[in-house]
Order: sequence, then structure tokens, then C-alpha cells
Amino acid sequence: MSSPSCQLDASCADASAPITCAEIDASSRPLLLLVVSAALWLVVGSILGLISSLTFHAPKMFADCAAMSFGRSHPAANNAFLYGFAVPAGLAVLLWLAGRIGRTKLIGAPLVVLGWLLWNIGVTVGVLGILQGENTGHEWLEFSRSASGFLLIGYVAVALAGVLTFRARKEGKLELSQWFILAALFWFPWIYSTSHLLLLIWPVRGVLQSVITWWYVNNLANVWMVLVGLAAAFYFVPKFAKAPLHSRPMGLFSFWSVILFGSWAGIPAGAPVPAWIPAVSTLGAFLSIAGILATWLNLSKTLCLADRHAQRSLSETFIPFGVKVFPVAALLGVLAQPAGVSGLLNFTWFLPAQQQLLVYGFYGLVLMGALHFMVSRLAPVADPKPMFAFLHFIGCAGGVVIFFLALACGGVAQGGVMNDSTVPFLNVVKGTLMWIRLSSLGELLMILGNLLFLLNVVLAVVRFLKVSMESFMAENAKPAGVRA
Amino acid sequence: MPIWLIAIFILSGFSGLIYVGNHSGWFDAQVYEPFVDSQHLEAWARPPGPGEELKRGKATFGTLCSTCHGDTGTGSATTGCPPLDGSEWVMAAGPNRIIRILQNGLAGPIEVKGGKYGGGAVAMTAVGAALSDQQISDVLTYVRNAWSNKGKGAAPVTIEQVKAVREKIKDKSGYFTPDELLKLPEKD
Ligand code: HEC
Repeated sequence: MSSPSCQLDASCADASAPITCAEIDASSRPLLLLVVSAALWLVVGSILGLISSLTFHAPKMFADCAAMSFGRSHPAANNAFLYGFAVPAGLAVLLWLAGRIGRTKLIGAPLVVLGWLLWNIGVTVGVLGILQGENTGHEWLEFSRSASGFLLIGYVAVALAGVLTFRARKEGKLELSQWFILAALFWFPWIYSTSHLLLLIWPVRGVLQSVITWWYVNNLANVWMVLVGLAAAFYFVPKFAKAPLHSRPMGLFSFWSVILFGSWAGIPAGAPVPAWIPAVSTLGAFLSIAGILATWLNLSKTLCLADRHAQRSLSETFIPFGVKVFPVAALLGVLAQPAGVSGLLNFTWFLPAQQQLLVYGFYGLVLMGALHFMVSRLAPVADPKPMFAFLHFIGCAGGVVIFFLALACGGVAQGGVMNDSTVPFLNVVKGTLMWIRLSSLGELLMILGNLLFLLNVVLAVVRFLKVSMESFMAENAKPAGVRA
Repeated sequence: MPIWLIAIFILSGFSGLIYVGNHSGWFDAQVYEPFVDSQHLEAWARPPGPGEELKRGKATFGTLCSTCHGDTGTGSATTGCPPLDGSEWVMAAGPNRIIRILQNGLAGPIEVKGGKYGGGAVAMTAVGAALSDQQISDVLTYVRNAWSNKGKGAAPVTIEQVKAVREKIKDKSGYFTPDELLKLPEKD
């Protein structure tokens, strides 16, 4: 490999280390399964998302096709993104990081393969089920119960390999990223199983159900994804800057802030539940402000040490972008909580905009950056052409920025008129159409970015397989090749 | 950790606690929307000020009447819905007849602004039957003072008038017909 990012591995190639990065990466190849399927679902999800927003522009286009109606394509798109892409991609990064930082090979590869299989069966059953009208009705938990069962078992299998790998680490003392990795491995099965038990197995009654849903959505987006995204960020950013992290104590503060405070945020004021619940939730959101600022300060202080003029690899553009988006998205989430603001923004396009900024702008981009890095190590092939990298970045980053700005502006405008009881509701809806159209432009760009991501991953894996096949054949064909 | 970050942490925690104090509804599971102080309560119980009835009336009109009579009260010849804008029924000296129309509905041929309407497929159902006295007075006051009806000096329809008419026709069931109404005085 001749790319400049190759030197990034220097820190890992410690002479005293009994194992090299190359060996770790070679043992981690089963993770590519997770990466390829994640990239595929990412594209599927974004196309379903586009279909669902097309229903705003041309309501008649899919009028005769129930599967394509908003009520089905929208949750299908969300779930394909969350469970097709976000969670398995996060797992792949977590497991690889656990090996890399712990300087150990991946342990439990069969578990990864088994988990990957079960997980993807679950996602396929779930998404197809939603398109056929099978939907639990709980936000972000729309998959049917059988699909969720596959997901949970699949996750546990993969995460078990992660925990085994984590345990095999060479250093007893934890690096900062390892805190995030370990917490994330355990966080998801906890929130996923708890919310299923309380919503679908032994459903709690009445308004409590929506409290559980809010709790789950918040814990998946603002805790789990943040943990995974920051695990990657705290690992990669110092690598890019070729300098140690600005402050480890501050990093630990970020960690405890996410775990202790971020986890109770997310229930907006004015929710139809006893007032103390959103009030306490807002307190949690307030308390997490300092942690968000600490994360921002820590990462940007480290990032500014990076050489601005050096040629940048894909991961060196994606991860810093996601890192910059994080404080914006997270602080907007806090801002939307308290009474007054939430009265204006609740039930508007603002909240989906903020959510997209967090789960795609921050989490998605950091993850794609990390995966590009990972794929280029697990299946080493030439770096992509600059034009490709440029389009890919503009698609993902430009797309999410346009999408966010359009819907956030639309949401604020919408909230203003919606609170004016003299404006009929239909006029409110009509007033947002322009913004929705603009946001679809962002969606198109994101589809482009996602497609290029898939292309890059698949090309790398295919080329790698071809090269290994050829060298394998060459080795075995030697005796016969004497003829030449 | 920079000192300002610690300060922000303490400050946000402090304001968060104040927020909880003001909005938690005393941790009572029955309280969904606590008031902050007595002024807040009064704002909720505020009696309608001048101009407010027009605002509320417009809202009711937008949800209940505009589908048939049009956003600007022009009506529609194709569906047989008569105009309210400039209608002599609406602008009558008193609301005696129009309150009845809202309360029980109207069916049968009717002449409005020289045009012939009604008596066709679409009758006016008793859209006002489920409204409160105040809502009826609001929407009729609005209709009498909107579009080109504005500034013609049509008196507002009071809650008392609505109450009185409703009391008189409480035993009536079914639609009124225009002929029936024309026999009544415009104003008591
Ligand atoms: C279902 C459609 C419909 C709705 C909704 C409706 N109307 Fe009517 N309205 C009619 C029709 C049709 C007539 C004529 C009835 C007839 O004579 O057959 C009429 C007649 C009237 C008249 C008397 C004629 C005129 O043009 O002055 C008034 C006043 C009136 N409506 C007011 C209202 C108000 C106020 C509302 C809302 C609270 C309302 N209508 C809702 C269909 C409707």
C-alpha cells in the first residue's frame, strides 16, 4: 500500500507488541460480512426513504400500491437504516476496535458469522413484514416479534465475540475508546430486550407505552450510537492528528455524561404523560450539555493538531466531519426539550431533521469513515480515485446538511403557524411543501453517497477475493506451470 | 477540565433543577400540565377580549363551513351551496334565521343574492348542533363581519341570542326549509 494513510498504523506496529496490525486485521475478516450487508441495507433504506417522501410530492404515484404508502415505506426505511445499517455497522467497528486497541486477534469468528446470519434474517423478515403491513406500531420498534427475536439472538452472538475479544486484550488498563466499546456492547441488548418485554411481551398500560418508546429511541440514538461513534472518534482522531488525545479525564467525563445523563433525556415537554416525567427528562438533557461541550472541545483540540495540507484519505474527511456535526446535533436535541421550545417544535419537521443530523450526519458519517479505514485494511486494495472520494463525501455530507437545513427551517415555520389556531391544518401542511421538496434534494444526494459507499465496499471485497483466489491458485498450480 | 466547563455543568444542573421545580407538577401522577403561578392560571381562564371572537369564529369557519361555502364565503353554483359573502340571509337585521339554520340544518330551494340554490343533492346538515352557544355566536359574528360583509355595520351575534333561539326550537327535529324561515321575523 502506498497511500499516506498507511503511516497511520505506525502506532499499532509497536516493536514490543507480539502481534502485528496485519495479523489482527487478517483475523477480523469475518467482520466484512457485517460491513457488506450494512452497506447494502443503507442503500435499500435510503431508497425506501425517498419513496416515502415522494408520497408528499406525487401522492398518486403509488396510490394503488399499499406497500409503498407512507405508513409502510417510512417505517420500513427507518428500520432498514437502523437495524440494517446502523447497528451491524457499529458492531463491526466495535469488534475491530476491540481487537486493534487490545492488540489481539478477533476471538469467536464463528459466532460473528452465525450472528450475522441470524441478524440479517431478522432484518429481512422485519422489513418485508412492514411493507406487507405487519407493524407493531411502536416507533423504531416496528419489526414483528419474530424478526426481533432473530435480531436479539444475532446481536448477542456477535457481541459475545466482542466481549471475548475484549477480554483477551493485552493491557489491563483501559484506553478511553475501550470504555465506550464495552458499554456499547452491553447497552443495546439491555434497551432492546427491555423495551420489547414492556411493549410487546407484557405490555404496560396506556401512556406508559409512549414513555418506553421515547426511552428506547433516545437510548438508541443518543446513547448507543453516541457511544459507538465516540469510540471510533476517540480512536481515530488522535491517529489522524498523530498526537495523543487532548485530555483523557475530559474524555471520561464525556463517557459518564452520556451514560448517566444522556440516558434519561428524550421525553419532550408537553408529552401526554404526568408532567414530572418530561420535567425530569429535561433535567437529564440539561445535565448532558457540559458533556457534549467537553466532547467537542476534546476532539477539536486534538484535530487542530492535524496537518491541514496533507492529502486526506476518505476516513480522514468523513470522521472529522461527523465529529463536527456531533455537538450541533446533540445540543439541538437538548434545546428541543424544555417547555416553550418544545411547544413550538413538537410535531413539526424539526425533530426528524435533528434526528437525521445525529444518526446520519454524526453517526453515519463517522461510521462510514471508520468502515472505509477498516475495509482498506481488511481487504487492502488501491485507494479510490479523488473524484470518487469527492462525490462520495459531497453526497453524504452535503446531502445531510441540505436535508437538515430544509426540514429544520420548515419545522420552525410550521411550528409557528400550527400554534395559531386560526390557520386551518391543511394550510399548515401545504406551507411545508416547499421545504419538503428541498429536503428531497438532500435525500437524493445521500442516496448517491450511500451508493458510492456500497460500491467502494463491494469493489474492495471483490477485488480482494479475486487477488487471494489468484495467489491461492498460483501457489497450487506451480508444479503444473512448469510447462511455461 | 477547563474551569468554565465545570461552571457550565453546575449552572445547567442548577437551572435544570429550577425547571423541574416549575414543571414537574409536584411529582403528582395526576398532573399533566402544571401552572407556574396565578397569572399563568388567569391567562388560561381569560375571558374573550374584543376581536377574539372573530379569531375563534374564523377558526371554526375554516374547519366546519369552508368546505361547502368556500374559504371566502363565495359558495359554489355547481354544488348548490349559496354564498355567504353578501348574502341577505347572513346580513339580515338580526340572527333569528341563521341561528336556526346552523342548529337544525337547511333544505329546499332558496334564493340568495338573486341566484337560485339548494333543493338539490346537497342540503346543509345541522353542523351547528354540536357547537356551544359561544362557538355559534363566534362563527356567525365572523361570517357577518368577514370579506365584503366587513364594515357594513352588522351587529355581532351574542351568546344570549343563540341561547334564546335554541331554547325556542329545542323540540324541533329535522331541517328547516327556507319558506318556513321566511315567515319568521329577521329580528325578535
Ligand atoms: C354540507 C355542506 C355545508 C356546510 C358544511 C355548511 N353549509 Fe351552509 N348551506 C349549505 C347549503 C347546501 C345551503 C342551502 C340549503 C338549501 O336551501 O337547500 C346552505 C345555506 C346556508 C345559509 C343560508 C343561505 C346563505 O347563503 O346565506 C347560511 C347562513 C349558511 N349556510 C351558513 C353556514 C355556516 C355558518 C356554516 C358553518 C358553521 C355552514 N353553513 C356549513 C351547505 C353547507
